[in-house]
This record gives sequence, C-alpha cells and structure tokens, in this order.
Amino acid sequence: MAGIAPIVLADHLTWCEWARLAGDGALLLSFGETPSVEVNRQVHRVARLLDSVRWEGLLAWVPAYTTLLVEFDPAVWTPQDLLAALDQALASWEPSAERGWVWEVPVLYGGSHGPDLAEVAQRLGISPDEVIRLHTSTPYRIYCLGFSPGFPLAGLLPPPLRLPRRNTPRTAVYPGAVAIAGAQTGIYPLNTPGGWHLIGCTPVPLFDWSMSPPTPYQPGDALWFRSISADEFDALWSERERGRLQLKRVTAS
Amino acid sequence: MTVLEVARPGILMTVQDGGRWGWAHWGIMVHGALDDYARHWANWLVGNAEDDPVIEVTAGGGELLIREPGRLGLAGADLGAHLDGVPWPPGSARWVAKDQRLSFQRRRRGLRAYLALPGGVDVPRVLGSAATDLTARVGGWQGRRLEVGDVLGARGDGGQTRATEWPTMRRSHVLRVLPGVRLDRFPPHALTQLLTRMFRVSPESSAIGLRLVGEPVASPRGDWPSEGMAIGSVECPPDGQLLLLLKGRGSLGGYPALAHVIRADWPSLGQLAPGDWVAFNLVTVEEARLAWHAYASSLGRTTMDRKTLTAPVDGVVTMVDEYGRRLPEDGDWVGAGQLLMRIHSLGCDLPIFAPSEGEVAFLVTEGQVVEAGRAIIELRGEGYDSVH
Repeated sequence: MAGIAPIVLADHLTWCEWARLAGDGALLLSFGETPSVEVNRQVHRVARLLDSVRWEGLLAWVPAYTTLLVEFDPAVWTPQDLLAALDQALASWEPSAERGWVWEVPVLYGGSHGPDLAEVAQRLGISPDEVIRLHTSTPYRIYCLGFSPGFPLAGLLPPPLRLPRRNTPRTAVYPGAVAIAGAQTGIYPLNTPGGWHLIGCTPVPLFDWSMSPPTPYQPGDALWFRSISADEFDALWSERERGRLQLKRVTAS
Repeated sequence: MTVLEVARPGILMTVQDGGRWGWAHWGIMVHGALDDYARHWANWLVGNAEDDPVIEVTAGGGELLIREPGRLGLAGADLGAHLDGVPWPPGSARWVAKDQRLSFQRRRRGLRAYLALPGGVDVPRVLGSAATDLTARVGGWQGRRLEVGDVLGARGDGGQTRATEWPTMRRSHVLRVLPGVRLDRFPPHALTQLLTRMFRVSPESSAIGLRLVGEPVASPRGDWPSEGMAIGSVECPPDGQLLLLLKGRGSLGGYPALAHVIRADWPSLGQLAPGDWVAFNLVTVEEARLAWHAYASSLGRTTMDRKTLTAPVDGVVTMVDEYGRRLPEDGDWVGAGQLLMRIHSLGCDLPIFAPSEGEVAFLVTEGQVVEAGRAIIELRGEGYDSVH
C-alpha cells in the first residue's frame, strides 16, 4: 500500500495550515504542529464561527489544541463546498477577542478527596505540599473541552508536576475530581471513567445539563486552583446543597 | 395509543434517536442509535418522522408486555422476535393488542433491532435529543437502560402499518475505508496489515467503539496532543489492537486514526456482534460518495429486484480472497465492485465482483465444482434489469 497517504483537501490556506479528510463525513483542519496559545486561538476563532452560523448539515465541531474536527452530513455538503464556505465566511468574520476570564477553583487536596496525591508526590520526588503549592501557583489556560461532557483540558503545568497518565484508567471517577496528566490539568465534572491522577476535589458543581452552555467556563478562560481546608470544603458543600454554590471569577485586585 | 411495559430488559434496551449532534465542542458525546439505517426503517414502518425516538434492542433476550393497544414497527437485526409465540420477522409494523407479549428469543442475524411507536417514544429531550448516553447518564429513559417495570408510551396516536421486502438491516463483514487522517504517522506497512488481515469483534466492545482482536497492527511511536476523533475512525493504540469508534466515543482522543469507515457502512458497525469477523477494503472518495448516494436512496423502498450471477467458466468455487481472507457471507450487504467469490480454473482464480450493491445469497459452496453458466450467486437490490 505504498503511496497511499492522507487525503489532503487544501494546503497552506491563509487561515489554516492544511485540511484533510477524516472519512467521507469529516474534515480535520490543522493550525500548527505544536500546541501554543496562538495556535489554539486560531482553532477557536474558526470554531466560534461554526458555532454562530450552525449551517444545516453541519453536525459537530471539535476544537482541540492544534486542530479542529468538523463533522458534516455528506448528503448536504461535499468537503470542498464546506471548505469553500468556511473560507468565504472567515474573510468577513471578526469575532470578539477571547474574554479570558479567570475562574477560582477551590480544591481540597489529598486524602480521600485526592487519592493519588501521595503517590504523585512520591513519583515526582517532591512533598505533597509542594505539589499543592505548584498546582496553585498560576492560572492554567483552558485549551479545549472534551473527553467527557464539560471536561476542561487546561495547562500547561510547570515541568516538575508532569507525570504520564495512569497505566490503568479508573472505570469511574467521582465528580469534581481535580486531576493532572502530562502537561495538562483538568476537572472531572461528571462521574465518568478516567486515566488521570486525582490530586483533589472541588465542591463546586461544574456542569448543568439545563444550561446553555452547560459549563461556566469556556476555552480561552483560565482555571486558578486554590487550596482549601476540610472545614471550608464542608461549608462550601452545604452552600452547594442549598443550591447557592457557583464557580467564581477571580476579580482584578 | 401504544404503551409497553418492560417485562424483561434482556441484555440491553435503550431509547435512542439519531444522536445528540452539535455539542461535541462542549465534550458531549453523540450516542443515539448505532444502526441509523434500521432506526430509519423502524420509524418509516409506522409512518413516523425519521428522528422520532425508538427503542434499541441489543442482542435480545428481552420481553415487552403490551399495556395499551396500538401500532408497533420492527426493523433491523433478527433477534427471534415473537408476538405471543408467533414469529415476527423484522421489516413490518403491526397492530398489537393489550396483554400481548413481544419477546426476543434468540439472536439469529445482526445485533440490534429497533422498535418504533407512533410519534416516537414519549421521553423528554436533552439538548434537543432523546438519545441515551449511558456514560454521562443522561437522555432517553431517565438517562439509563430500560429495567423491569418501566412503562413507555407512544407520543402519538394512530400511525401506519407498513411493510417492506427491502432488508431493514445492511450488515457487512467487509468494511469500506478511506485512508486515515493521521496515516502519515504510521509505519508504511500498517495500512497493508489492516487491508490484508481479518479481525474479530471483541466482547469488550460497546457504544464507545468496537474493539477488534487480531495480530497487532504496527502502531505509531510518539506522543501527540489530543484531538477530535471522527466517528468511524479506526484508532490504533500502542498495543496494536484496533478500536473502531462509534457514536458513543469521547470527542477527543489521543491515538492516531489509521483509516475511516465510510458512512454508508456505519449501519453495519451497529450490527457486528462479538465474535464476528471483520475485514477492511480501501475505496476512493468517489466510491464513498456513490455508496452514500445508494444508501440514502434505498430508504423507503418497498420492493426488491433479484439478479442471478452465473459462473463464467468451469471451475471450483473458492470463498477466500488472495490474502486468505473470507469473502461475504449469505445475507451480507455488498457494495458495487466488491469481490464475492473466486472460481479456480486452469491454474487461475477468476474473481466474481458484485455488479451493483445488494444483499447476497450464495447458491454454491466452497470447493464445489461448477460448470460455466450455472447460477452461483443471487443478489437482491434495486433497479436490476430482469436477468432471470
């Protein structure tokens, strides 16, 4: 099968590096080889256009670190027509700048709320407190949402915090679990399977099926984790049970 | 108005529609019926809109009690459906009476059957869809599989009682693929391995994907950022055991795609059962387009034409291809140009290709000696000139 290659639809467009077919109902658009804030912004610029036009026959779009997957109905679109429509729409598309909100995420680290913290610290060769200090030291940009509903993929973690993911994924992770893997950090909003290291838990509900969008944060925002005590966790939890607990933005001081 | 009570849920029953499309950028899985072709047919049989919610019956073993009379359409896999002990083959709608029992006794062919109630099953929509997402526990019937005692009603009254002789399931063991979007990350022989070997569907398969068991395929070495994975993608993890992504797949994935099953063959993915063999054939973009067109135009047909293929030479029937892979089975849906059989004659193997798409039935068996002109294959499909 020598000579068979991915099907390239376009190369070096003004707004993307290449467009390839991912089957007869999907396009993959690449905006750069290496993840960076700038490349990721280009991804979301096009994703936001798709979200606003919602053309008939446009089934799904999945912005990631460097690429955007677009799934479409082949009865409505040929890939060429879809690419041309995008090209044309983007010429006059001036989205507002990323809002870049920073969300404060209160986290109870370690213990039963972060069952992997001790092992993570041991494998990294630092103390659990140092893991917490590093994890809370800076806000992390949300590059995309995915894996499971509302899961924010944020980063990049400082190099001393980077560990490969677990060898055996858990079949169920409790909602609110704060986790790390590689250069990424995230929060499991719902009870789903997961392969990341669980270092803490936030009491704040993050995903609401009745809201549109269902998460308070969006790509381009940032998560800033704050270590809380067990007492504070319990206080926040009772606030949650009264239906009053929401994620709060970090206000400029 | 049709009302059903779950007497036994069997292996798995859920409420599904076409899927929760349009929210993948929030990380929301599509889910929905795993065989949209059979789902469309079930709805057509009772005169529903094509996206009305249906009951997806996986692998059988279940039983439903009719609580209120009304119409019911059955399409898709043959799971040995019986109404009060009388067989009910898929492809027709019926009027069912109070206290009758619909049971799925034994899986015969395919994996998923679909039951349509007039106006669809009455369930709330979540983000515009009635699809059950068992991973996120949302949609369909209370976000879960059906259990004993659940009572499901039709949203509408009346409806139609239609039937079709056209198959309401198109299962193929041979899946047509386009080159993977990340094929360039693979060693050059990986695609050859995919296209010359046979694989088996693992019991570990689910709505997330079909796990395929086979000799490991050469996997790429490297670490790339996660990205959107198209439904139908053939993913290759480091252990070389393939994962074929279905509509329940997470929106982002980290393993590169080696190939993509074309959309016309997606319905087949929902009908391949654990233990079934699978092989992959590469097609062109144009072939995929024609296959999709043929797929879309077949919905709603009620009659079929038959075409008989005859042996072009004297010879011996061979039911494997040049790589030793099996060829389609009786009842498989085959695409135009697909290899159906080879006839060994005078030291050569003469290939017999499908002249157009359709459901195949073999009139001869492996190793049988045939004379030129003998009927060897019957193809049932659309628009054949009357050959026989």
